[in-house]
Amino acid sequence: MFQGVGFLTFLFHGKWASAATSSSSLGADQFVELSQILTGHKDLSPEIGAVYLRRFVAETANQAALKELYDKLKNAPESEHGELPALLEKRGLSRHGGLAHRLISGWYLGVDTGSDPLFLTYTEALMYRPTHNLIPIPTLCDGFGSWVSIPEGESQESR
Amino acid sequence: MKSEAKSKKYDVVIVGSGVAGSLVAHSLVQRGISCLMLEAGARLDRGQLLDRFQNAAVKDTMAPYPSLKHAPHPIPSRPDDYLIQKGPDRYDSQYIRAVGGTTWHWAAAAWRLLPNDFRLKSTYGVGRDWGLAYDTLEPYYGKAEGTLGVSGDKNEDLGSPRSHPYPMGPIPLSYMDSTFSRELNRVGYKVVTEPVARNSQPFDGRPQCCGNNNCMPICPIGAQYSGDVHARKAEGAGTKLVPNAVADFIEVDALGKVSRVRYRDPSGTAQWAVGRYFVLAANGIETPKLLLLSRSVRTPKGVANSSDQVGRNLMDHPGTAMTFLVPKPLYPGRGPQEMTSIVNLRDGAFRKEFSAKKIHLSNQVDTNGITKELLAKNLYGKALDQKIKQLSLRRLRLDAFHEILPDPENRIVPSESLSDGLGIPRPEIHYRIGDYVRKSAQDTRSHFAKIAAAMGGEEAQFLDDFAPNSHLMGTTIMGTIGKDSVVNTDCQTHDHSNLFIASSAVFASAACVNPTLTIAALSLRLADHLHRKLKSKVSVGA
Repeated sequence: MFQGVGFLTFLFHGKWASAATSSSSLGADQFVELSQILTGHKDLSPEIGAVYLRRFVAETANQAALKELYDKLKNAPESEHGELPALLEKRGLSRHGGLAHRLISGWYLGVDTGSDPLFLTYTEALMYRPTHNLIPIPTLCDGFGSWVSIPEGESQESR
Repeated sequence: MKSEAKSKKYDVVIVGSGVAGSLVAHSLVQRGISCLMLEAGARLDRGQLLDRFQNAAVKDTMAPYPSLKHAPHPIPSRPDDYLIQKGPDRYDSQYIRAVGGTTWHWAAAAWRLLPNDFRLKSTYGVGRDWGLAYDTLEPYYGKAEGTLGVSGDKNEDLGSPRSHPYPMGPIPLSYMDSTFSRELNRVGYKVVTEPVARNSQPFDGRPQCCGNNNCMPICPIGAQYSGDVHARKAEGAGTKLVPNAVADFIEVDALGKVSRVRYRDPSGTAQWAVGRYFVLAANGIETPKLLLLSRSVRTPKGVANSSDQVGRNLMDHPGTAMTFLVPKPLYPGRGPQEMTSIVNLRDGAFRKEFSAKKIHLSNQVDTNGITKELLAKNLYGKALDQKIKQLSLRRLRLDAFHEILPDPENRIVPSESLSDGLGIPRPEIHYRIGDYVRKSAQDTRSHFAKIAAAMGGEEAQFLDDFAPNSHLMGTTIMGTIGKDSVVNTDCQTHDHSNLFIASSAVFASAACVNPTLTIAALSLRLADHLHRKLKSKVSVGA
């Protein structure tokens, strides 16, 4: 009885409902998997993915498109991950290019932009990964004077 | 009236708790002078500001500082919510209404003005003279550097003679800044280490800079000076600090002296602050607004405004910029946000024709802007990451501050029709950037191109937007003649012997460097002046 009430309450608030897998919508794990394929980045945070997915779930118009993207991209070879627009074109998904662009942008910027921007993450925004170990993310630091020489994380061939 | 009856009469009532007001209060209260400091905004907490910035969806320069209904301030993402722009040019400067004021958010550049900056008219025939000589203010520059904690290089001549050493040695230059300095000095520019109110060693209970690269909008660790330091010290020494107290009227008695200041709490309830002396330290917009709002039978044009100069001569440092790509990574974004400046364009005979300027190298990486730019070009995956890395490590930015001349037509007036959450008229800005600046900006462009070439740069992009730099100056201008100025060289209003102004509002020239150290020096000098007057029990101006 107690379990049942809890279950219904959870559904009522839409949390589990939004993350649950059904035939017509994506689950949280699938959303993160799709995000990894589109961005070409592994190790995306499930917690951030869950927040981001809720944003899309609130927009029913995108449900079917997300599902189709996932279904047709889930078996794409890793070498093609992140390689837009070819990744979409090859599978007849170009019409979902705008949605894919938005999803990728959110992961990179840490914000789903637009008229009602949604904060997703600061330090885990993908835009900081290319300069990881080279430039500290603002507000973080490497200690007094760490800036005097070429960063320790820089490889010889890049110098 | 009931609340006034209960009011204590303070030796000094100060309006505004930024660096100016807090330094005046701290300097006086330590010497036994009773001070009341009114602050329109709230108290801020550094940890909370940092959280707010990191978690903001829109990370503009004011992201940590929400505008309050009872004490609004400009916000870049909603630029027309508070300041009313009447043009023809926009004046989108920002300031923070909070305990500690706008130095919560600054680059800590702690420049002294040059001797010629104080005598522009007599030297070059343009603008105005202050009436105050550099030599007179010089000891207070030293005192201000010691008070705020300025790191600087004693071996570099910045053109402003010094009688005191910097309290701290310089913060070592970044790899990018030392490369830039070497290359530019080689082709005839004078690149110096910027003196900064940022700790190169633990100082005054605050830590050494560790390179958070977030000086603006908020230093996470307090290694950079901010006005709250002396607001807290002043309060700890006995100053009565009242936050959320919005001054909206100054009363003048039959003898022409200020008798009290009315302030409102967030609900609108009014109280009166009573004192012997009054110091307005509410920045270059809010101070003239308050003076102009204080119209009465005795002051029909507003307080301190017999000259009709209150609110006029509004200045800032119109900015232009250039970004360019250097051939090898120089790794900007490591260390503090500003470290070096080009200073050989700050003074010279050219000032007869066009404005002086300071050019500085930005040590920030606009990762968000770069990423948006590349996404807009539909770059994804590995190509996107490679390009983000390339631009982040190789794109440099130079910014130029230009000196604008005081022009009475550039002004702030209280709006006749639009008011804030307390019903207080909002500031209305009339602002035109004239040929003196525009001609200089053309010259700046040629220097930008020369600099880019010296660095082997390519893909130069110029931003000639004349963006203001939140340096609010001139609106209660200093001068020796009461007919055309608001305060005298002691920062005392010509009209009211017990009313003083501590602010860049008194600047008679903008020069081309950040104003805070000069504000601090003037404030400390004013405190000494008030102390002498109070201790001698001689009425000021009598």
